[in-house]
Amino acid sequence: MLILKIYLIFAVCVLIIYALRHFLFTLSRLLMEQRIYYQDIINSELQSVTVIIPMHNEEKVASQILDLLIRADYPQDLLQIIPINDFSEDATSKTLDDYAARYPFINPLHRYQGERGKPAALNEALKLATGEIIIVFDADYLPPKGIIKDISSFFNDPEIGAVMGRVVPINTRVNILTRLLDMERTGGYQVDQQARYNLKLVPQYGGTVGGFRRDVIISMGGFDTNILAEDTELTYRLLTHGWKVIYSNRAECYEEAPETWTVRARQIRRWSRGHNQVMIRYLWPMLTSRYLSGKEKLDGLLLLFVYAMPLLLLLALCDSLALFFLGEMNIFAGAVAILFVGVYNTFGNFAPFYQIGTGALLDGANKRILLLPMLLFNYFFNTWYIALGLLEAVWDVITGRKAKWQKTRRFRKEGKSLYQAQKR
Amino acid sequence: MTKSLIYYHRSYRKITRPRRLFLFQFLLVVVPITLIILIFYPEITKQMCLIARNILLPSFPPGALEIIQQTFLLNKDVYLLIGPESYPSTLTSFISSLVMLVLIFILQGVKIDKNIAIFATFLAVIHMSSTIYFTLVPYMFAYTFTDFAELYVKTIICIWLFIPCIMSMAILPLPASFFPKLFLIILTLIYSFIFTTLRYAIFLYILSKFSFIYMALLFFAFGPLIDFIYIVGIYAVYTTYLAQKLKANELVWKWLC
Repeated sequence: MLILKIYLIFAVCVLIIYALRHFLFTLSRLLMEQRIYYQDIINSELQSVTVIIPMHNEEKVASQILDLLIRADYPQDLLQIIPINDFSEDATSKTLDDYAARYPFINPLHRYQGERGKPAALNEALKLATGEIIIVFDADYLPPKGIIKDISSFFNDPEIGAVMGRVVPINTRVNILTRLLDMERTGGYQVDQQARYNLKLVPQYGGTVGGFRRDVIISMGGFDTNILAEDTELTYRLLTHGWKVIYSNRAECYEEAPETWTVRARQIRRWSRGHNQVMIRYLWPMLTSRYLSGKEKLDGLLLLFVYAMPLLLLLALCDSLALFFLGEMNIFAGAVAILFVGVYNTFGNFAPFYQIGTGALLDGANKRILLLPMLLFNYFFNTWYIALGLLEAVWDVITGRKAKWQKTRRFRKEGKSLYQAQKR
Repeated sequence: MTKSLIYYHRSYRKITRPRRLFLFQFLLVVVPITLIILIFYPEITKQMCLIARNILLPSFPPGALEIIQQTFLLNKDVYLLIGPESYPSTLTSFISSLVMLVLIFILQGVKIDKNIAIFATFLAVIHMSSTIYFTLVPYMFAYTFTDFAELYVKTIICIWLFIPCIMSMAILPLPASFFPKLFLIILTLIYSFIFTTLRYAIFLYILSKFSFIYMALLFFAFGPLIDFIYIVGIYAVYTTYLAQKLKANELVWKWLC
């Protein structure tokens, strides 16, 4: 009985820490000095850049991203584009070859042998890459004209190993899910990532709309093909090797958010599994790293445990139910009730509501903020699938099982233009 | 077409409000409101019980509803409205367990948004726990109506104490004048007083008329959890209004520093 009570109080204390962290980020983003990225630095000597786009059965979207990258505001003699045809069974291969025939700086990589998955594909592409800077986009992204110049401008700061840009869903209006995902992204990038950059904490490289130094990653042995979240793994590997990861809020890029709950469930379960694999591997190296300050370690720790929190909360719920039926409801009465009721229910379910609201306000949004209470339902949804992902990660470690990469389904109609995608 | 004025891009815009002012306003709101609640909660809970009793009087025989007192924070009295106790039969509990089990299976296959389905499953699992409990070990159920009323009323007092704090954290940093925000916090509290009173009457009716089998579901799913929906809802409505207003006043935005 005592253990159950102690666990509940522990869960509440952890929630308070995360709630205060969200509040600090909100204040930092809204009121404090904003740390700008390097895009205003005018550099006459641009670096060579390789853009890598992993693609697995991406015939619906392949031509759009390539068209946009061809029009990018970056000298084509310094640009190399490597679209990776990763075991595609549709017309992706033909599309890439058509583009390669027309544009000499597009060098497709066709993979039908070897290890599958994004990290393995990236490793092969790195061998072909000629650019000093590598920028990665997922195939459904719609990069704006200036984004290559924006992202690559970090190169002149010798401390920076990787940079992450802002992801903005383009299909927001499709249904309630895409609207809610748009809000989550707003809170996550406009406030969370920028605040972590402001406060010199740990912005996270997200695996797309981001760039890194080719030589650094190659010297570290490339991407780990055993980890599903190669982006989070890269973040912590760079940090523990003395490199900084930064965030560019100005480098915005549109993406296609999942339009069905099934696809979303699979996506966050995969993220959770990958993120928790990284947590298990990097917890100790991060805490003992001589390159990180105390506050970076604290933020890095909280970031590592982000995908472990839902299971902790789920267990806290089971715990409180057990206490209820065991006749120990008096733990909720009196002073502890303030902690339990207030913190568990508010921050447990709505932890980032003020963060998301502030992000939407800064973005100039209006009516979509009204959907904030709907996040309650997302909380239960996220809790369940993220908890499953954590359990899978633990099982991976125990059994040595290797995770299989699963592609996120695309919803765009083939051949639809950027404008049509926005209008949907 | 050329623009006559280019506003700050959303990526680095911010507002300028001294952090000390925020702290000062936070204390200015939270301290007095908390004190007012601590001083007046006996009277508020008394009124709450009286209103709930008046609502329920037509549905109960005379003398079935009783208002009692207990000691709570600062050794003050808290008022509780209690009604007749009703326990489920073993057969009812067993049938309810089966119904919940079937419901949980149906929810996994039914074509509704998955987030709603999972939330409904959460409700069903809580209720199924209760039905199984009353099927297997009903004699171990440790609560009387007074216990539940105590839990409910003390919990909502804590929520009332929590509302000024969470609402101040959420809205005081926003770019608007102080008094409308203060008004909003007070409005949220008033809404909470009314909502919790009506909910108290509904809970009491369900527990008395349909048995204690619903106690866990009522507390865990429709108790404090629901309170934070309207708190976030009121915040959302206000922030939406503010966002609209700020569109007409771009000068509020500052850049970087």
